[in-house]
Amino acid sequence: MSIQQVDPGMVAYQILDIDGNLVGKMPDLSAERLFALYRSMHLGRAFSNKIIALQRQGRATTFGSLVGQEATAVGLAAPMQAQDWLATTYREIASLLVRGIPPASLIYSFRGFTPPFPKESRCLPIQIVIGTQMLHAVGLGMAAKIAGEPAVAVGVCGDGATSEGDFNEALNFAGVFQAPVVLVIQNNGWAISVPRHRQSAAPTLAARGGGFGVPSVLVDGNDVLAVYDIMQQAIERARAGQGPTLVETLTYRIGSHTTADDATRYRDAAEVESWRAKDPVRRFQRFLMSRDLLTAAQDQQLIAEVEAEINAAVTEAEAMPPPAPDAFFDYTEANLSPRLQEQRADLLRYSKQNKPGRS
Amino acid sequence: MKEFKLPDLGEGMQEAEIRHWLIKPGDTLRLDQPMVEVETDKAVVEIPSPIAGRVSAIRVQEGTVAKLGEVLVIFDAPGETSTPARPAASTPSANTTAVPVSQASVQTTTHDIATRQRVLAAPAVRKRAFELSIELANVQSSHPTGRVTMDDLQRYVEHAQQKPAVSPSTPAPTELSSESANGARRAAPVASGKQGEEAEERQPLTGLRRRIAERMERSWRTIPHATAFDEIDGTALAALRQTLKSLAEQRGIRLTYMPLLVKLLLPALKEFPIFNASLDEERREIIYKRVYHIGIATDSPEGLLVPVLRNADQLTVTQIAEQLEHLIAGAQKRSLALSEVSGSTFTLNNVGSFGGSSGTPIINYPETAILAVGRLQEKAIVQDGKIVARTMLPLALSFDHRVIDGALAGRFLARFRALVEQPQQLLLDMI
Amino acid sequence: MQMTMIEALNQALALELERDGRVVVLGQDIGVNGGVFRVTEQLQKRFGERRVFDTPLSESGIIGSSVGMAVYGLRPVAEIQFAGFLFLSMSQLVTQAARMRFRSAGTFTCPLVVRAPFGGGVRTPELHSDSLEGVFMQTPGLKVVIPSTPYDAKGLLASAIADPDPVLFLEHIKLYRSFRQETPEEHYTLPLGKAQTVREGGDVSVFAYGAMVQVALAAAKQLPGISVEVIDLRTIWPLDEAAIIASVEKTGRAVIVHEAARAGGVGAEITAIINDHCLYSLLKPVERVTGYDTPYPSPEDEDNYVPSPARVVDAIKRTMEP
Repeated sequence: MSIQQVDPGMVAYQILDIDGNLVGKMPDLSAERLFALYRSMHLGRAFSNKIIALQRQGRATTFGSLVGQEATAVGLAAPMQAQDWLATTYREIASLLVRGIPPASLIYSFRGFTPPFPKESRCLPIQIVIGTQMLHAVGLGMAAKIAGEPAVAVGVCGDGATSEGDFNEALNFAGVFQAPVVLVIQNNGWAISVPRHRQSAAPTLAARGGGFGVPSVLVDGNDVLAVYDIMQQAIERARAGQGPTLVETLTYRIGSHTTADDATRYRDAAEVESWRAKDPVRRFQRFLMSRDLLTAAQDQQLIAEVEAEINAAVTEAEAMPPPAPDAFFDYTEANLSPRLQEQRADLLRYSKQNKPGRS
Repeated sequence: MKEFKLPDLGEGMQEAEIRHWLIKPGDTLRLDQPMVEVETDKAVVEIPSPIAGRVSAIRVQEGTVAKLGEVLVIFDAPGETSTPARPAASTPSANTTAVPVSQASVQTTTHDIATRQRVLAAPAVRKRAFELSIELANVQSSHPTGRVTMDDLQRYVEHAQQKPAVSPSTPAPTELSSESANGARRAAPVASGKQGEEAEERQPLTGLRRRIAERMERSWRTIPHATAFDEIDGTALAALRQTLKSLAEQRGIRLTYMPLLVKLLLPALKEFPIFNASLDEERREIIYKRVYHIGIATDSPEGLLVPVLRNADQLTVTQIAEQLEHLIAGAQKRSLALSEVSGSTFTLNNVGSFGGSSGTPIINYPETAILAVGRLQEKAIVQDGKIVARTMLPLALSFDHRVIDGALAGRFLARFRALVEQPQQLLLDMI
Repeated sequence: MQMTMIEALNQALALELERDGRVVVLGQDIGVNGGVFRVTEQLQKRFGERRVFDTPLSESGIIGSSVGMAVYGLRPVAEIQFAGFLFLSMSQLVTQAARMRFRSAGTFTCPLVVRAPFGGGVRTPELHSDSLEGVFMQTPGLKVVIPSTPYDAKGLLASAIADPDPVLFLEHIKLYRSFRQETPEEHYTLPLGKAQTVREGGDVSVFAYGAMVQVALAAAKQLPGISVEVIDLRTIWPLDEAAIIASVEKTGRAVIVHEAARAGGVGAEITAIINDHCLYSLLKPVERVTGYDTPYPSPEDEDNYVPSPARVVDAIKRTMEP
């Protein structure tokens, strides 16, 4: 765990060890639910690999792989309720899939279009400006509290984001206002090429919660049951009016930062291999098989189904018509000034020349 | 000493009018620095300096016509210095705000840009002068910087009205009217020319008007014109245009009849090549053109211009519509390039747009024919013994009777009629 | 009732808190203290700490959490203590609040109002008087409003709060208490994006906003022989281009007055608008009477920096020269 912590002696909460053996208290989850968690992890991984393949074929834009981080992504979203809000970065696609965003919509967005997410999913659009979404999550929680509604907000960021001012301001506000929010630091060891220990001298990032009066937990981020369990507790705490929690999950970014990055330039191959041995999907698979909740045949079938689902989503996304070239004017403001209307007409005139098919 | 002569600007021009010198004697020019604006038959062209050097003398003044090969300007040879009279450098205008670049500082930049010989005037003053067809260069300025003010323009107008007295039948430069833009809430000057002193006023033909006069003379003098008139049934055409119009609008294109008429004309031109030709009078040879550049007679503020739709047979209807918009707008602004107003092989004249039905069109020399189309109008005609209402399109085809006989003209018109009356037949030959 | 701008703003906020349960007011020192300029005086007492509350000293935190609240469905009215400190919240305001609708293709919107005092002539320490409207003119998705009277302030703030998109509402400190004006006590709105002709004239159009409206009017008074039209822009973004064009077409002369620095400011944009739409009406170059392209100076120097009636008079006279 040394890449993620300055103080490797601190113990992260764990339910399944790296081989999938139960070493903690099993959370109360039905067989279907467990299977669903497993399927979600596979879906996230397949999705991630597919977008990268598409990008290499010129069919998708820059994308950040989530391979190796499936347990955190799925585990943090699965315990959420329909009324809860989620604010994530670009690396939690698996969380969005769990929350019900259609895969085709997400693929469509990586074609380079802005797709509307279904409003009911209560997922903010993926955030590119690092750390800003943590304040949004806190604001959403504050609003729920003001409105007297039992909704909880979950904000997710990476280890790099904890250095941004907004992260700190978010923790501070969360503490001061006792906002019903769970702030998750998905510590995958690297902020592009800057390792965790260069991001903060704190022994763990979770420890920083103490400075803001926010209770914090450190979790094995590759153990989906542990993440699920901790998140469920934190969410229910918040819902019960007991305030915010800071959760740090320890995981690893197996791939490069994005399709525009080459991690072999700055990472040790041995380190990557050591983390492959802790693969979250395999760990859970072993656990499920050991409990006879999953057979090899079912596993094969699931993988094939997931693959088919992703491929169907790609086909669907590529068949989706592009929005009208002037659509983004509508996204700018509700009421367009005359000046903007003129500009819109101007764009339409020239857009025909640029891409004759897209008029 | 190096002389620069009026070059061949293309299209067989033999002379050009000097519109505007952009430099003056004593200026040191960079290579390719804009030097002088000249107007040929068709277009206003800017000639860049052929060398980097100092201007010694200007030989042809503004407003004069220079012949091809005539010396326009003389440069010092490197090493030579002449001592031309240098007019006082213009001082910066009285605008003393903290705006960074004044005219004086522009002159002294290391870029060595020579002061333009352009008359200074505010936009409102320029616009008014343009509307009154007054050359600002002719207006006396009362301002220390030489800038022409609205008052100066007003005075010029009053003075011009007093000179040769105005007889009611001759149009005089109009007074600066009470139109908005210029603080002219102050009293507009009253036009009170001395009346009854002289019965006429002379106005020289200049610019485009002069060109048009020369070309009309040449065409009428050289080509024996005959005109065939006809009226064809444009009901199907009107219906087609109606259908296509809304489709075109969705693409942001304004579809008039002209693009359709051009398209319908082309098969006729292809089948009757003599209409897309030219007679070489010297060699007594007919030149059959293999390209189809359709001239579209267009009205501009300064007179008739004929911008050209090049290779009309390779354009779609929408492409023609788009190009027409561009050409017509360019004609209005006189911003078209030489190549855009020359080289037509056949000309189409829409007289219907100003409400006419037909007339005798004059051939656009040196073509062999010209087609004028009038206004589409519902008329009562007799069909199979019954009176029906049809939308009729009047036509007038003038042709060069040296190379085209009446019978051939009749057959050409009949073919055109057949095309217009059943326009959908274009689909049969569409690729 | 005769009201100062402070009182008018206070009333506007109270009326909104009363009629719309989604409205919340937050910022530093706005609760018990009623705001350092007392604009939020008594509001916490009347409406409770749930809806009117103080925040930690954290501009980005204020705006960022307000973005979350607005997305949730509340209507936050956040106060930044002085406009100069908006710089600390630039990211949340520009990349987040102004783009939430854009980023989500309209699924989520951010009906947020950010209020901040600004403006010179009041001897403030550094950064407390800075005019930032030029900076925010280039923030698509964000409206910028600057009232010049108590009556306008109340109606414009009500409209800003009702607007479905984020609005930056800048209040000139000098105007807070400088005069009283008859202002209705009931709720009313004034349209955003619409300028107002406060003085009709035919010779020259003077465009101003905030405290500069008074400066323009004072200058006009010193020129009885010239028919000066003064237009209060009221909304800086979007500018009321139709009003600007109509006025310049009428007079042929334009003068723009603003405290903010010259480069890339409102004056520059209006000059460009005139160029685009009514250049041929111009008799003289457009005059801009503005702050200099230096940081806002210290209290002893500010009177030389802020446009005065004398500077405006000279500018008008220059446009009137032949």
